Amino acid sequence: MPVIKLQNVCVEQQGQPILVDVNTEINRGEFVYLVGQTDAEKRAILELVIFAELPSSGVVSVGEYDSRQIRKSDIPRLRRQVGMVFQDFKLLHHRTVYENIAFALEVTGVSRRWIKRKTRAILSDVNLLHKRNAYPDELSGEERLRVAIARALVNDPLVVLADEPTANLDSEATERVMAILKKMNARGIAVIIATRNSVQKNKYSWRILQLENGVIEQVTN
Amino acid sequence: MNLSLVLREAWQGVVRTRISGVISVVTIGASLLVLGFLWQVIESGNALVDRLRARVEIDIYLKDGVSSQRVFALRRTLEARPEVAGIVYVDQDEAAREFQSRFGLGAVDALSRNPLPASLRVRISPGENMPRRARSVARHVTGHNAVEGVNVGEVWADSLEHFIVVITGIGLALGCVLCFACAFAISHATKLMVLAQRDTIGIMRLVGATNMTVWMIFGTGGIIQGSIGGFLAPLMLAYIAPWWAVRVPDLTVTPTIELALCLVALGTVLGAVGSWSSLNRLLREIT
Repeated sequence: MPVIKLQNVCVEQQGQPILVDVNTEINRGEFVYLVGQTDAEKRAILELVIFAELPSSGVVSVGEYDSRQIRKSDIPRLRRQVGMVFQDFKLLHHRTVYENIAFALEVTGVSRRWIKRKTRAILSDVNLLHKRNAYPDELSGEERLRVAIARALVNDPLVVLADEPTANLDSEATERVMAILKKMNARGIAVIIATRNSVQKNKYSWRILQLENGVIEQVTN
Repeated sequence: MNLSLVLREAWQGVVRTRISGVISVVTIGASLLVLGFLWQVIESGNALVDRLRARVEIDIYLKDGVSSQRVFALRRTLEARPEVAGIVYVDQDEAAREFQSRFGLGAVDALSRNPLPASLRVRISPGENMPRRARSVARHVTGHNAVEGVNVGEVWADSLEHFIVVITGIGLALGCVLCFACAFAISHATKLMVLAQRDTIGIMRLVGATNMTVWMIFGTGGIIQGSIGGFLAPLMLAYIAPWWAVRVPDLTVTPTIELALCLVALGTVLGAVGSWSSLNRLLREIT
């Protein structure tokens, strides 16, 4: 069952075509690399999936919502089903690791008890329980990334979008982060990693969506 | 809606605005202090006018040697008028005693005879336009063959009333300006609060916070500032009230619980209005 579906999607920005007639589906539990040389194309896809932008033409569907029918008031609910990991992590520097993650639950209005339980569980999943009281500035790059991943996962999303998550990590740190993402993927969460680099074959099963000149060329492993 | 989140984030937002937040709160406090002060002065002024009105009297001086029948006839004529609430006859001896108590013993004794005339002291019934009605009674008796002269007395209550009306008008105009200043100060502080937390708002939206949640947090920030300002105003008023009472005892300023609640409520409303005007524009710009 697709969690994300793009049907004949075109995106134009300032008269320039960014995506041209894109058709693709991403299913529950899939692990997908979105490879593109330009940031604009990848960003356009990521923005479409969180409905920060609507397509110039075509239809974007995410979970139960699609771009033809979604109301503005539905967008927050949709975004709770899509976890985002940014290249610059976008952590709140005046909040601890725990508070950064709990914040994503607090703003959705869930109970305090649930926030506590869920935040501790996700911190344990990303091996950061011992750093829960640290501030982002006290963490390494890899640890910050794990906090960002934890925040993206804490709402039990259908899909996690990660923009160049391992761009600044060494191979060992990359391996550890990928293991966390794969663990979440095994629980049924679709994972999309946007990257500029070509993807090397590794031990994980994956699918590659190659973006070139606004068009997706599908490559499977 | 998580109320503790809203209050916590709103408070942190206010704290993070630092100097501008403090300036905003002080502006609101000072503005509401002026409003509360004017309000109290106007209330005291109105009470003073009422007290003076209740004391509006006319002194009708009688000619020397006028017969008691003519005085009685004059008295009956006056009592028939609706403006008259009561009449007291003050004979020459009583007039001398009053004069002496006011200007000192011996002032009349120094003269060979008591020069003060007997009089009828007419109290005007309370109600609207007392000074006008007092003048009407005075006109009626002026020229009467038993009457030497008429003193219309404390008609300056009319002038004081006029003064209070002017002060009320100025107070209302100033109040509008000050309310606008309060709303502007809060609007500005809210803007800084939002801009300082632009990243937080962006993340809130990305993780699925509704617009209502974002609005509540930052709107509550403005409300907190307004209510703190509103709370400060009666405290400052209580501080200056004794100082004022010594200098202007007839126009006292009494910070009552009702006044304090009104000022806090007004500060809260101004906080909500100020932050709303700012948020309405700003939050649309942050996606």
